[in-house]
Amino acid sequence: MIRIEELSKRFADVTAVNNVSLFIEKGTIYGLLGPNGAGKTTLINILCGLLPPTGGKVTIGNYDIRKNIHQIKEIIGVIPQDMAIYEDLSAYDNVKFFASLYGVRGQELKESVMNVLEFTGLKDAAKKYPRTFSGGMKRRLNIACGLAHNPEIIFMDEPTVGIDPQSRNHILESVKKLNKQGCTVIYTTHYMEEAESICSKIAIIDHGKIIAEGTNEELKSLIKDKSRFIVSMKTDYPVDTEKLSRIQGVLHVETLGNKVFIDNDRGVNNLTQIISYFIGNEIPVNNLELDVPNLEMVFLTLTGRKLRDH
Amino acid sequence: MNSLRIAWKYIKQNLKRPIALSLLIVSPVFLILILGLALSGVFSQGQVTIDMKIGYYCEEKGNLYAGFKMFLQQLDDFKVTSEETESIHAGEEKTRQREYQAFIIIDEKQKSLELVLNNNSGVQAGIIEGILNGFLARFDFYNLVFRYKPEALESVITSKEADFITHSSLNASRQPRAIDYFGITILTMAILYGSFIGSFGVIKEKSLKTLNRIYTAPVTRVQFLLGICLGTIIILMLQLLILLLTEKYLLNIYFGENVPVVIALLFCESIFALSLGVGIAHLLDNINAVTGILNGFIPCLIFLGGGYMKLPDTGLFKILSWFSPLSWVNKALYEIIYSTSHHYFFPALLFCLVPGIVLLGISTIKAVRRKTI
Repeated sequence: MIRIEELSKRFADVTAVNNVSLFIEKGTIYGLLGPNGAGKTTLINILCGLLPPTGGKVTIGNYDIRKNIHQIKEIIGVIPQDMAIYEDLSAYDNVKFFASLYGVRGQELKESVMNVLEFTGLKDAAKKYPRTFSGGMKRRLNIACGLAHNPEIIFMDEPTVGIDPQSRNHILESVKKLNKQGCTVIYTTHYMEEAESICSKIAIIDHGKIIAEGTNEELKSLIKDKSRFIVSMKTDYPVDTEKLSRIQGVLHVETLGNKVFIDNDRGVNNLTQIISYFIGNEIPVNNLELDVPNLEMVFLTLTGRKLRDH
Repeated sequence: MNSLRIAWKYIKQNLKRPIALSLLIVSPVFLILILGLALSGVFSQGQVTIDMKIGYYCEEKGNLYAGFKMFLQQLDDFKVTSEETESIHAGEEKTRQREYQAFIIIDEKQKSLELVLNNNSGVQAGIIEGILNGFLARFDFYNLVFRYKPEALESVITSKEADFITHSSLNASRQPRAIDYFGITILTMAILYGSFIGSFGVIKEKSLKTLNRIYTAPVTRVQFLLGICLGTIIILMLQLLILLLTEKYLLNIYFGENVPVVIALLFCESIFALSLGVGIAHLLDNINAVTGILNGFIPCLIFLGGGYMKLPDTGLFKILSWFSPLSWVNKALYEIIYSTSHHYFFPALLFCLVPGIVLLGISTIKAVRRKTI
């Protein structure tokens, strides 16, 4: 469905997309996971025709992006990261305007607009103005505006940024429904939980490069030799992370509130030394758990950096 | 089609902003009233006044006498007072004693007027002679009407315009009052401020990030540009129409006999305004720079066009005003409205359309070259 070959994009002396090659099959929810500034939005902007690539080749459907961008635009829907809606037009008029740009008209247009407003849970607010909406409702309207023309491929660029958990769940469920209806979804996020829960395939992107690609399980298998202990302290005592890091087998230590996250080499049995550190420093421990590998750990292992600030 | 959809959306957005719309229409009218009334004294100084007293006598009173009496009423505007004497002798005596600057003997039989002047009449003698010639010419015209279409005579005589024979130097109704002057200059100023409507069309789409969303649809940059231009010109035309009707019928501002030409000229100024706003907003990516340039540039053009005050016709201001399309439009409008000459019409068209076409042309070239892919 989408074939990307050695794609690159440079802005002056910054390489935002660096030699990216991907193949996205029809009917998948493809996740692009990476921290802010990794190059996800630039990649999406190239794929939807907003930016010309510096090098490489992209084919969407059977169309070459350099030669047939008009045809490509007719089959894609874009939900941008920034809220791109008109506050002075009603929700209905917003969706109607954007759908009309794709040639949808007459009764079909009216039905499509109402269907998509119902799909995003905004049917009752159709005649209301977005300035009266909550952040979550605006996000859903932002999504509705990219769906009313029934696109085959949907690009969603961080659609859940800055919204409440309820709206986030609604959006994630909507993405799954769209996929069930046959849409191919390219979903960028820096929330690993989202990528884990909805994406059938994930590419981890950092500094414009794809550093790993596969299904959720395939990616986690990259760190099957690693484990994570989560130590819960009674209160947030000061922890000497450097001292903990010097314990054999400890790869990374991080503290958050009263919790200490310790990534380990699974092949080394160092639990006794770790517990000894807390006892030796008279730090009362409430709980100790062994965490299963997740995409956050995958990213940390591959890049040495966190995916996002907690 | 997409251009039309963008235009229609933009019109709808603007019509939904009653405050902005009222600012576009109500404030110019308000400004015209304030300036027109406040500065009426300044303009009345420029009005032709003769300030003289004349006497007249008629032996057998007929049509000529009746017409002359009506004509004298019109001379009130020029501060010409008149008095009917009991005899020719009495009139001649008062003229000799300089009570009258002129004495007129009406001869119904000969259908002629005899003018008696004193030694001190001077320039006023020439003026009164011109007035009488004007009257006789008009009287001849009335006679012709009476001969060939008597039923139309009353409407011809009582017509407010009474413009069948033009004596532009003496006809007070053709001298612009303060409200006429500001009616025109503020109308052209309001149209120029319409540049902001055009620029907001582009700026708002950029700042709201909806422009990128539009470009991800099968819409080219040229189609978008065309849509905003169409929407803006329709809004400006609507504004022009409302202002024109309000000024003409509510404020009684005089727009001359050639209103279609006036509208054509204002339309050309609208093209200039829209191209200025849309062009600058499209060419510059920085929103603050766009508003900054327009906020600085438009008042300069208005000032040089005499929009804030009448500028002197000599010196530096004259040279600078040459560069303001508004100055040409205003000159052309006054010329079309207050005389039959069209001397400034084509220069005004050129000064509006050439920069407009250049700005839109550059924007279009940029839009064509700056392909998304």
